[in-house]
Order: sequence, then C-alpha cells, then structure tokens
Amino acid sequence: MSIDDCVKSLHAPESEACLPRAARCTHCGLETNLHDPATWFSEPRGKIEDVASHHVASDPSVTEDPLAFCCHGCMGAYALIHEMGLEAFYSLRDQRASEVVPVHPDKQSTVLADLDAAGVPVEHLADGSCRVRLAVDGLHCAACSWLIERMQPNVPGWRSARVRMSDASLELIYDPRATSPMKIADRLSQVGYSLSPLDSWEDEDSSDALVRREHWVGMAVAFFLAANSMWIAISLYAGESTGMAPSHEQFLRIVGALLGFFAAIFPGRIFFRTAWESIRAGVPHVDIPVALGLAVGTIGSLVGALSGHGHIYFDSLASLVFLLRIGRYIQFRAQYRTGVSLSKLMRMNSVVASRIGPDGARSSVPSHRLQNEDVVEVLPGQIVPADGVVIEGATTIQTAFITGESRPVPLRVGQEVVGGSLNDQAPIRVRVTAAGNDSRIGKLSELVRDASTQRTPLIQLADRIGGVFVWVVIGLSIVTFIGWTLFTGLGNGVDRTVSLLTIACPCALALAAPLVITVTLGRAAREQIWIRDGNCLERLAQPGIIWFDKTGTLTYGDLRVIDWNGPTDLLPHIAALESHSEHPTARAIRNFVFERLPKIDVKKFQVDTVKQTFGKGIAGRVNESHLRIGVMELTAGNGVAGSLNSTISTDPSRAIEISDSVCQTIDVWVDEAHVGRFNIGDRLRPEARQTLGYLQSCGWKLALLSGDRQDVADQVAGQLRGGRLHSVDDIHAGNAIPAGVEWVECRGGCSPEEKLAIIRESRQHYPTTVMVGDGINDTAALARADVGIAVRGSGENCLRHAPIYIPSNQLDAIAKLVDASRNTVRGIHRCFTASLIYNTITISLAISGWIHPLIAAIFMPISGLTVLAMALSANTFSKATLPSRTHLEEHGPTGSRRRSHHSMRSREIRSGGVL
Amino acid sequence: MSVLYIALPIAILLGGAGLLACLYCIRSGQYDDLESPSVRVLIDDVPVNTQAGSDDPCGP
Repeated sequence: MSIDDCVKSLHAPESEACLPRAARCTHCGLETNLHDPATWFSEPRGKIEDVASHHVASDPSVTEDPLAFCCHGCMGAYALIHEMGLEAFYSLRDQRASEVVPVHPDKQSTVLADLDAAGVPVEHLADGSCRVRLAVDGLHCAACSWLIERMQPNVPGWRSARVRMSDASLELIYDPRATSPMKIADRLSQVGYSLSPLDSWEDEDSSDALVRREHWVGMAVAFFLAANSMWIAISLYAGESTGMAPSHEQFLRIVGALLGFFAAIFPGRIFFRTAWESIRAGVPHVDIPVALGLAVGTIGSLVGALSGHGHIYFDSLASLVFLLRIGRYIQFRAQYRTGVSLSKLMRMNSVVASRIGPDGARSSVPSHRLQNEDVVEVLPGQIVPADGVVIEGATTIQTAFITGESRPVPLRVGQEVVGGSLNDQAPIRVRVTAAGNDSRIGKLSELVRDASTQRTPLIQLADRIGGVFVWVVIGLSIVTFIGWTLFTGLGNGVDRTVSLLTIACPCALALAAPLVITVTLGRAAREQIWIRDGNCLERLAQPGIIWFDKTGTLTYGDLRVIDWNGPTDLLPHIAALESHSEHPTARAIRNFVFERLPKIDVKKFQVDTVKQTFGKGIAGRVNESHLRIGVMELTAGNGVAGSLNSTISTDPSRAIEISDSVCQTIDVWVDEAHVGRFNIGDRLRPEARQTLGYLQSCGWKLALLSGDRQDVADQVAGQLRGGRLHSVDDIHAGNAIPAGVEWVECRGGCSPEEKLAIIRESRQHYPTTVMVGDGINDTAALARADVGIAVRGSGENCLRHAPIYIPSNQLDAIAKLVDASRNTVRGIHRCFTASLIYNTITISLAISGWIHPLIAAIFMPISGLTVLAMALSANTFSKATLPSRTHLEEHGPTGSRRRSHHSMRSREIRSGGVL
Repeated sequence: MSVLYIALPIAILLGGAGLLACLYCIRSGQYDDLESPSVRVLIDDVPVNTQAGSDDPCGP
C-alpha cells in the first residue's frame, strides 16, 4: 500500500476498507464465537453511543456498523477509545497490520505505586516534572505506540509519552503533583497495555542501546575517514599518471596518512583493545592478527608518508577498519536480538513481592530488590519471592520446580521456604534470608543469563583452531616480513606482510560456529521455541532416545469425565468429598457433577476424616457413610470390574469420543460396596502421531515415561502406534492396529524419583537422551537428561530446568527443532571447511606476493561476509523440511486462534530487531 | 594548485562538521528507534476534548 493510500484512509477511517469485518471482534479482530450476539451488543452500544454523543463528533456510520466483541475487555477498550475520540486507531491498525491485536487482561502490578522502593530511576527535571522509562507489555505494532502516545493529553499532568518499539519501552514525563505513574498505568491498562519497571534484564538492554550507539558512531567515523582517504588516494593515482608537483604529492600523502592513522586509532581502537586484552589473558583471539596488520600498515604508511617514498596504504587501512566495524555491528545485532527475545520472555514472568514494613505498611517491590530480614506477605496463588523462614501463618506450598514433587507440602511457622514455591492455601508471612541473586531463584536465573555467553563444544573447538591459526599466521607473517625485506627491500616486505595479515581471516573460523548457533537460537525464538543453551543443538543433531511424558505432553492434560455409571443421587456426595482434593481427576469429577447438577451446594455435606493417597484416590466420611473414590485395586477388584464392564455405555457417539481419548476408570465405593464408575478421558494431541513418526524416521528411538498407571500408559502407546480404536472394549483391551510409531519402552506408574533414575540409566545406553515433559512435575528428569524439553508450565520454571522450552505446547516444534539442530551442525561444518580452504589459498597467494594489500583489504571483509551469508543461509527452521501442518486444520478454531497468536508473537519479536 | 593547501583542509573540516552533526544525532538517540517515527509523521494531531467535530479530520 502506498503512503498516499495510507494517508487518505487515515482521513477517512469510515471508508469501506476500514470497517470491522463481520463476526470479528471490533476491537481486537479475533473471531467471536458468541452464541447470541444480539444480547451482547445491545447494552454496550447504548453506552458507546452515550459516550460518543458527549465527547466526540461521532460519525453516524461508525455506530451503525455491526459491533462485535469477543470479551468484556475488548468492549471496555472500545468504549474508552471512543470516549477519548481516538477512533483513528482502528483505521491505522487496519492499515499497518493485517494481523489482530489482542488485548491482554489487566495484569497491572502495584509496584508502580512506589517507584523509589522498586528501584526505578526517576529523573527530576528542572520544571518539577519527572521522567521515567518503563516497560510496556502488550505492544505489538505502530498502532499501539500511536494509541499510547495519543492518550497522553487525556490524562491531566501527563506531559509527554514516547514509545520505543525496539525494546518495548515507554518514556513518561509527568507532573508528580498532578498524576502518578500508577494512574497513567491504570489508564493504559484499560486499553490493554500494562506497564512494569524495567528490571535488571532491561538495564542490560539499555546498556545494549549504548553499545549500539557506539557501534554507529564507530561506523560513521570510519566511513568518513575511509571516504576521504579514498578520494585522496584517487588524486594521488591520477597525479602519478598525469604528473603533479612533488610538494602537492607530499601534502596529499601526509593528509592521507593522517586520515588512515586516525582510522586506525579511533574507530580501529576496539581491535587493539580486544587484541591487547586477549594477549594479557593469554588466549589467542582473532583480533590479534587484525590489530597486528593494522599496526604494521599504519607504521608503514606513516614512515612512507614522512620519508616521501615507498607505498602507503592509508586508504586500504581506513576502508579495512570501516568494513571490519560493519562486520562487528552485524554480529552484535544478531546477539542482541536473541537477548531481546529472551528478556521479553523473562519480563512476562517477573515476580512482585508485597513487603511489610516495620510499621505494618505494605509496599510492592520487585523480588530482586528485597533485602535480608525484610518481611514479605505471600497470598495464596502467589509465588514466594525469596528464600526465607515462615514467621506467621500455615499453608501448603508446591515446590514442584525444585523436587519435581507434584503434591503440595505443608508448611508451618519456623520452617524454611524456598523462593519460587507456589503458595497454595493461606496467606503467610516470610522473613527473607536470601533474596535477589543470593537466593536459589537468583542463582538459577543467572544460569539462564550466562547461557547466552556459554561456549558450546563446537565453539570451543573453533576457538582452539582459531587460536592455533592466529599463531600460525603471526609466525608466517614474521617469516614473510624478514624474508622479503632481506631480499627485495622494506617496501615489499611491509606490502606482503600486510596482505597476509589482512587476508588471513580466522574470523570465518571463529565467527562461524557462534554465529550459526546464535542465528538458530534467534530463529527458534521466532518459532516459539526458547533455547537457553546452545549445546542442545549439537546434542540434538545426533539421534538417540526420546522419552515422552504422557499427561500434558502427548495428551492435552485436561481430564474430563466422559461417562458416569452409577446412581445420580450419589453425585453430590462425591463432589463434596472431591472438593477436598486439587488432583486433576478430582477437578474433572467436580466439574462434571456441577455441570450436571448446577444447583447443589457441597457445603451442606459434612465431610471429615479425608485421606488422600497418591496415585490411588481419596477416601472420607460424607454424612455418616464412608465413601472411597479412586483406582480399583487390582487384587480386590477383578470380579467387580468384570461385572461392571458389560454396563459401560455403548452409545455410539460416546464410543467415538472415547476412541480419541485416553481412558481411565475411577471407581466409587460406599461402605466398601462398589456402586459406580467414572470413565475419565484425556484427549491425545492431534499432532502427536505425526511428530513421533517424523522423529522415528530421523533415527530416534521413542519411549514413554508416565506417572500414570501402567495400563493407561500402555493404552496411549498403543493408540499412537498408529491404530485407531473403535470401541470402548478395544481401549480396555489395548487393541490397536500396529503400524507407524514403535516404542522402545513404555513405563507407567513412575514417581518423579523413578523417572529420574530411568533417565539416568538411559544416558548410559544411548548417545543422546532427550526428555520431553512438563515443567511442573518432570523437572528433575528434564534437568537430568542430555536435553530436556519442557512443553508446559511457566517459562521461568521450565527454562530453569530444561534448556529448551516450547510455550506453544505444539509437539511438532520438536520435529522442527531436531531438524534445525541437524542443519545447524551441518552449517557449522560447512563454514569450517570453506574457511580452511579460503585461508590456505589466500595465505599462499599473499606470501608469494600475488595479492596487493588493497586487494587483501577487499577480500578480508568479503570472506567475513561470505561466512555471515553461509551462517544465515544455514537451513535452520526452513519451511520445506518440516512435517506438514495439516493437523492445524483438523484442530479447528482453537488451532487457528493459536496460530494467530503465534504469528503475532513472532512479529513482536521481529519488530524488536531493526537491522 | 597551491589552493590545495587551503581547499583540502577546508573540505575535510566541512566534512568533519557533518560527521559531528551525525555523531550528535546518534548520541542523542535519534537512531534508537527506526520504526515508530516513520509512522508518527503520518498521523495528524487531533485536537482532543475541545469543540468536538469542527476541525476533526476524521469527521464526516
């Protein structure tokens, strides 16, 4: 679309093209699936018309459009935007983005109430106003920044707003007497943007911005010097052929030499610095030959310029510095982009603590700003922000991320609690003993941070080769210099040495591996795969065994009751007992009962002596009768099961539903008499079969590792073997048509400890052991495997234990990942080979004097850029190699929504990098 | 050709002035965000909360 069109439609936002599409949410554009839109729209429309007639010149055509909203949040946002007279937002959004802009739920943190306590630097300006930079969540495209900036005049005391898309931050200038960041944030949250302090990750971001500026400065200066020295060189060459006064020639030479000298010492000083540092550290670095070449060239040029004869290379020097700086910048960008993606992920999971002061006053602080001896309050459902000791209250906590223990652990006054645990039941107060980087959380997040600078074995190999290479080149250059100087004079010696030092490009060698890996990490992030550790890519390239967790990994993990076989009047009692458990099965049964009998009130039942047994069930007294709900004991239950089997529903529609599910039966006993049975199902992920088949074709062995019972695990394995089950009996018998996926092993009934042991053992038998599981109760196994891939749970938790985290939960991402790893390693090898061949040829040419320093200077960056191009073109995450995505279509509306969300995120990530 | 002694330094000084201006732009953060400003110019300032309608370019 041309700019003209764009501007035109901005002036006519009601034009046909900009109207909201039918059946799409007017605000966010998501498809609405309301059953009766009329009832939804009548109310908000009245409200919006009210609002519109008061405040804005409402255009009749706008209110006559069919308004549709997917949720109350969007409705509210629409009303607010109307109220402020900012309808042009919608037309601008439609111009700029074909994708939708979903509105985030209001997750405003209270931490903004006291910025000083939160450690956010607030700048006080001369006129009494304050300036602060905050992170914006929910920023997707230019329309968002427009909306935020245009909201500013509507808030009294808010002086200026400047959104920076590149790192999703907002600079606020406000009058502290008239408003506060809290008020502004409240206003913004109404339209779906939440503000949060830039935490320590973002501090690094802003220093990244400074580094980037320095890169730009360096490139600008280098360009200026290179361009000027080049036209001086042209006049010299022209003068040589047409004749010029020796005094003029001398003048030009001195000016040119000065320009080259400045190029070497100003923009070129970073090479000397890194070279010097690497010499001091005793680690050979690619910058040593570069610095040496620059030094020899500079000294040679200066000597040549001052003495008035001999060749001078100032133009090649300056352009060499310029091209090298460009290369450095590109490398920096690639690393920076990965960093931004990661820090955005981390920002989503920042923890805010509620600190209780000595006077009892509460204040919100980010967890990393807590001090020892601070007292914090942790409400149910919140994460404990730091390590500490409980001083008040008693509750149960979930420590799944540390122990892999999925059950809540009771906690009393005086007991220690580890930061990151999830408080389950009651509010507690905790005295902090270790916060921030000293806490267990802190140490773990440092691990994640370090990972980006970690050197994988391939990179280490490259470093070693690079190191040897550096010394070989230096040795060769000394020999060359001495040899040619002795035989043909100083000028020739300098010439060839500079050629050699410049053209010998270990960059290709040292750059390739990290670059390919960085590029892959960045692309993976774009594909919604977060990789903490580049090592995984190398490991995944070699096929071994993949262990899959069942619940939540191969299946959706949301259990629901498919069938109840027993007296209906017993259901309320069952619900009353199950309301004492948070087990997924219990939840499924509860939901089922409430769905069927919406009016029952479980509170009127008297429930006591409740006893839960892990993996077995729950028992207790409900209104004087003993009720037991759980898995049938094999020893006791055979006869009963047989008699009940015949009564299981044979309704055909049920059978189909069951055939797509993984079934499990839960029996109910009243006073030891078996009275009924639930059929509980969990759906298999539609892409599972395809993904497993693909992995198998790549040479991977597949195995199942489940905490669920052995027969359930067998049943899942059987279903994925390729056969489709046709009836309930088939499911119970485990009959499936054998085809496709073959399981090496299928283990059920494993506790987290057993899973850990199995993984440990499997590492001795297979070259690569991969564990795919959730970040909730498989953490121990994930951490133990060669490569752990977490597919569920919070990003914070998962990345802590598994080097790879796939938040989209899509199994086919694993297939992509395996593919990408193979291509990554192949790409690195290709770069190595190319670099070695290049260097052997060019070095021998340079030593024998076939290459002029100028040509060498041109070749040097070209070789570097070739490596860059090869690295970037390494076939990681290309579309052609992926298994087809047809399952998305099978998957229906949920799939399409997920896809749109996915592309939205990827655009967000792309917009983070401007190259 | 003796003018070279004056012209060359002047030329380089002029170029240097341009370079300094460029460095100032970079250091003051003008290149930090290359995305938002390009859209910003397309947007007209809409007077908000004043006499609605009369000078609203989005109006009828």
